[in-house]
Amino acid sequence: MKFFRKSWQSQLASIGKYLVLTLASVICLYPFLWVVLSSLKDNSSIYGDPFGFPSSPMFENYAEAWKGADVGRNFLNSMTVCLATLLILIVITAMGSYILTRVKRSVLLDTYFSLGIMIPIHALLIPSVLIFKNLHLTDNLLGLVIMYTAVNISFSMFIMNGFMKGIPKELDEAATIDGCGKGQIFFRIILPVAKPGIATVATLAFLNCWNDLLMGLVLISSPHKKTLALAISALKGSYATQYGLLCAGFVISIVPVMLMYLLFQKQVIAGMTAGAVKG
Amino acid sequence: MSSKRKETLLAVGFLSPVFILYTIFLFVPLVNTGFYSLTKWNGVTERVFIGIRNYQELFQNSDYWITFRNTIKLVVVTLLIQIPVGLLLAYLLYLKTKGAKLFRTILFLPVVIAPVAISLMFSLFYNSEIGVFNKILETIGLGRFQTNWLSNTRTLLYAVMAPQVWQYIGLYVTIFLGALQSVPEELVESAEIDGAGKVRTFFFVVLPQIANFTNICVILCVTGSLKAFEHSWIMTGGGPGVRSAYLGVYMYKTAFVNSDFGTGSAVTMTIVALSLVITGLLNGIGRFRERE
Repeated sequence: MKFFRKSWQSQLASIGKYLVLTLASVICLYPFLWVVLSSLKDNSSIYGDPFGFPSSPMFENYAEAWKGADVGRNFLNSMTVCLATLLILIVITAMGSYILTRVKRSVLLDTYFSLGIMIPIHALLIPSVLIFKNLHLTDNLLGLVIMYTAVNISFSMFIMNGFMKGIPKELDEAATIDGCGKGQIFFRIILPVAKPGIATVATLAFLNCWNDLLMGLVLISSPHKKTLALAISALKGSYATQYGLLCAGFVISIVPVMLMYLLFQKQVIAGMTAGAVKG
Repeated sequence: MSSKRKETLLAVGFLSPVFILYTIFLFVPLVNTGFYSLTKWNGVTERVFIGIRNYQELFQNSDYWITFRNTIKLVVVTLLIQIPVGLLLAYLLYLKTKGAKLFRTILFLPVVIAPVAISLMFSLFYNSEIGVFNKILETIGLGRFQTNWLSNTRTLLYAVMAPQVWQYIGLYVTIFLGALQSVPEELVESAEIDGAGKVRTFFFVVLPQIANFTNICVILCVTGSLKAFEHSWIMTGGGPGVRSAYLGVYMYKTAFVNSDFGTGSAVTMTIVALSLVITGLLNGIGRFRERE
C-alpha cells in the first residue's frame, strides 16, 4: 500500500517537474517565435492579430531590411570585424600561452594577463577614443578589431592556458629527442592538439565581438561602417513604426549567433562558464 | 647560436605580440582613465588637473546617487530572482530528467543573443500600440494591470530590468547544473537511504557542497549589474532624466553625450572600484568558508 502511494506521489512530482521545465522553455522561446512571426507580417496584421500566424507571409520584409535599411552592409562589417579579431586573437594568445605554460613559466605575467578579466569594458572607452584619434583610426573598423582583440586577451589566455597545461609533457620531450626545436613543437604538435581550446576561445570571442554595442558606439560614427549591433540600435529610430521590418532586422542579426550556438554548443557553454568560474 | 639563446629569442618573439597589444590597449587605457578622473576635460581643450574635485562633485550630485540606487536595485533583483530560479531549474534538470539536454539548450539560448537585440525585442513587447504584454495580461484575465510600462514611473525601472533578468537566467542554470553534477552521487544516495527526503537532502547535503558555485553566481550577478548598459540605453536612453539609468549609462551620458570626460572617468573609476571591492570581498568569503 505504502509502495503504491509513494509511486503515485513521485509520479505527480515528476509531472510537476516537466510542467515547470516546459513552462520555463516556453517563456524562453516564445518571444523569439513572436518576433519571427511578426517579421513576416505588415503593421495592420501585427496590430490586429499579434499572436496569430501570418496569413500571407511577407518575405519582402527581409529584402527591404537587407537592402533598404542596409542591414546587409552592417552584417558584412560585423562579420569582417569578428573574423579579423578571432584570427589575431587566436594566433597571439596561442603563442603567448605556449610560452607561459610550456617554455618559460611566469607567475608575474600570468597575474598581469588575468587583470583584464575583472575590468569592465567601460573603463577603456574614454581613453580608447583618444588613442585612436592620435593614431588617426577614428571611425575605422581596424580600431574596433584592435580593441576587441585587447579586451578578449585575458579570458582567452586563461582558457588557452588551461588546455595547454593539460597536454602531456612527454609529447614535447619525444619531439625534442627527434630533433624538433621549440618553434616546430608549437606548430607541429601543440597547436593541433590544442584545437578544443582554440575552438572554445573562438566561439566565446565571436559572441563577445558580435554582441558588443559600447565600443562600437564610441569608435564608429559613419552609417556605412556600423556593425550590426549599432545598426539594430539605430533601426529603432529610423524604422520605429514599421514593425515587420524591425523584426526582420532583428532576425537577421541573431541568425549567426543562433547557428553558432546550435553548432558549437559545447564550446559556447564551456567558454561562458569557464570565464564565469574565474569570476 | 646556442640552443638556450634560441629558446629565449623564441619566448620573446612569441610573447611580445600579445604582451604589447594588451599593454597598449588595455593596461595603459585603464591607468589613463584613473588619471583623467583627476582632470577637467571636455575632450577638445587642454586637460586641467583638478585633484579629487570630480569625485567631490560627483558624490554631491543627486543624479549620480539615483543611478547608483538603480544599480543596487538591479543587483538585488538579479540576486533574488536569477539565483533561486536558476538553482531550481538546474536541480529539476539534474533529477534524472528526460530531455535535460534539450531543456538546457533552450534555457541557455537567450544568453548568447546580443543585449541590444533583446532590448529591441522587449521595447516592441512594451510598445503601447502593439502592446504584447498588455494583450497577454488581458487574455489571462489580469487586464486591470495593463499600463504603459516604460512611461509609468512606478513600473519603468522594473520594466527595464526584466529583459536582463530574463535573458541571463540560463547562464545560472548552466553553472548550477555543472555544480550539481560535480557533487558525489554516493553522498546524495546515502542521505536518501538514511531517510532524508529530497527537499532535506537538497538543503542539507547538496547545497553546502555547491556553496562555491553559488559564490561565483553572486559575483556574476553583481559584476553583471555594475556593467549593465544596453537594456537601459536601448529601451529608454536611461530616461526620463536618469530615472531608468544605471551607473554604466550615467557614465556614457556624462562622457559621450555631455562631453565631460573628467567626470565620466570618475564615474568609471567608481564602477571599477565597486566591482573590485565586492568581488574581492566575495572571493574572500569563499576562501574563508573553504578553510572552515
